[in-house]
Amino acid sequence: MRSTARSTASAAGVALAAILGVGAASVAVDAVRIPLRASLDDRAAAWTSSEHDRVERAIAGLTPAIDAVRASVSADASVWAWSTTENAGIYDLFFQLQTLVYPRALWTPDSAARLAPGAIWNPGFVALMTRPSIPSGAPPGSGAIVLHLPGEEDAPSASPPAVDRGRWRAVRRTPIANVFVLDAAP
Amino acid sequence: MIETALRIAVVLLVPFAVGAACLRVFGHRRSDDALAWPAWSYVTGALVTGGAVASWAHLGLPLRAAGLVPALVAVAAGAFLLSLRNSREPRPTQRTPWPLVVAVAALAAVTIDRLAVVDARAVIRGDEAQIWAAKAKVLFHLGRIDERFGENAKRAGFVLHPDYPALNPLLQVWAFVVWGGASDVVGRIPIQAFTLAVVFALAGALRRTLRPGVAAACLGLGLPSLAVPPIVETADSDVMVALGLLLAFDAWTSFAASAEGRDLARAAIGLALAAGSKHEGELLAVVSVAAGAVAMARDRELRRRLFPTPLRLSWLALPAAAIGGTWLANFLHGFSNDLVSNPTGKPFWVLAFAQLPDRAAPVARAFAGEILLDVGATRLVLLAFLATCVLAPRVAFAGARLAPALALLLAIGVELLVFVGSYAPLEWHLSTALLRVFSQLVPAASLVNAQALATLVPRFAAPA
Repeated sequence: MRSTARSTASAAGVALAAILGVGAASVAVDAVRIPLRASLDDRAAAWTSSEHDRVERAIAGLTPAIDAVRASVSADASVWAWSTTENAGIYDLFFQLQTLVYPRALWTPDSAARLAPGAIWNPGFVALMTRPSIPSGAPPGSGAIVLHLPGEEDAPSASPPAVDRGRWRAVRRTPIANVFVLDAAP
Repeated sequence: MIETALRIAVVLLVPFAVGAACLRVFGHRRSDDALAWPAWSYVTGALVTGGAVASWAHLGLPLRAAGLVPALVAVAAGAFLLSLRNSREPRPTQRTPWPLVVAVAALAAVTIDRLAVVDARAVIRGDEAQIWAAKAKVLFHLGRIDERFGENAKRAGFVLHPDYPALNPLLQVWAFVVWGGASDVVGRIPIQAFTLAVVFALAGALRRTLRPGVAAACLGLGLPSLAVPPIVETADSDVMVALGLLLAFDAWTSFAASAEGRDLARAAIGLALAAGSKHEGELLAVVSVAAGAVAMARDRELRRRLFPTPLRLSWLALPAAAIGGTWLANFLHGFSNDLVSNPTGKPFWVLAFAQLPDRAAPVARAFAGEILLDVGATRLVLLAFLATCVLAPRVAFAGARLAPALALLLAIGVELLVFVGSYAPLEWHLSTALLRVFSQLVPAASLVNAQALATLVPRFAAPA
């Protein structure tokens, strides 16, 4: 009886050691492979970049628009953002813009819908992206970001909608995003 | 450049010093375990720092380095002076065997390198931006915690899950305070430090369990920084939960051997870290305490030795405070959890029961394929644990080992149940969360495996 228990324990020990051995071998391979994924340039950037460069690396092409919002929209104001195209990738950009322009409140076409848990799985959310949600009577100093296809910065679709249209002043037009600020009524 | 380095040093070293001093008060010295001590110190200091930032913000004091840094330095100095009254003789420092020195140095270097490369990009996407950094930015910009905190966190859907525990955002606020602004990068650093701490905490625990060469070989198995999927390349809280559970299991093992209250204190600190970091951590803390209670109920002799007086149970106040603090904050600010208050209007348990027939098989399949058998993701650590439970249950659940092993089994069951009862589409939920939540168990499971291995293969065991 005792020898059966001993041999069971011994088999369990071999099994455990074998499973952990496979894991340890894969660790040895990945401990070499994972560092090789990054180049020397990546490492130089990691240790020496400015914060602005790190933002640019994460959100390529949108930093001029973000800089414009940060410079021309006060911290307690609201910013409305929408896109001229329906694209799930751009939907993620809304979240990223929201992070970068905080403490300004970034309202996207679906902000209200997104506040309801589960809305993100609504297949209609992509269609919402092209629907500007600027309320009538937005306070002066509010901002707007219009995401658009590359090179369409001068297209009419990349301008604010009819609401208070005459008062929206373009502060920055970039190849993928235009930034506007609402001036006070004359 | 020098100023940047100095500020980052303050972000990390002040909590470290606070933690080291507080541990001295409980009787812990560097000589107790030179490898694990840096991790214990950082974790303890991070909890104190998070608590200090929360208190500071509740009092409405200005969130500026000129006030907060001296206050924490004073806490460290006060704790150090208090510890001088503790007359315990320090143990002689043991030399760390060279295989472990080499393994720790190499794996720490790989970890730092991987974390640094991540920092070439700002925190703008995923949970690290929309949950953790977002909550930190709301608090930092508001400058205090009052009724407006809840309104601001919910405004425009900025914080995706404002109900999540606050330790991670509080530590990011600490980094912002030292940095002098809400950085899009620096908030990651105090969180990434936990990933490095896992290397040292696990190395210390393995050294006390296995022969140096075997311990060195097993060290990489439990490191989130070596997992192939990029689960550590963010300022998410999962590694904090994983480290908390590892510390708790390690400290419990020491406590079961020594019966010294200071080891129980360390276990409570580990559970508080897990519970203060994520809702899953709260669950893990609860199942760990429940498993400990079962172990005590089954072994009266062990209970008498470990808990000669019920006063020792007061250490449980630490994780209880972490859980209670989250619940109280959520109640006061009107935050609710989406799994509990889900849009279907049905309670979680009702959903879990109703969805069990449809979801049991796909959840089990995903768990087997993406967790148990995925070498790159979990290094087969959870498979090894379950194999031991089946093949050698007397070893897996022997004596004081019952509590960690039972806690792990309960944790696996509870985590799987969350996917069954989730209101979210299953495929989406599994693809975004399965690996993350089970990675929280890997370091602790590695230690449990090592303890079983030391029993099953005595020549692998650490010399007595």
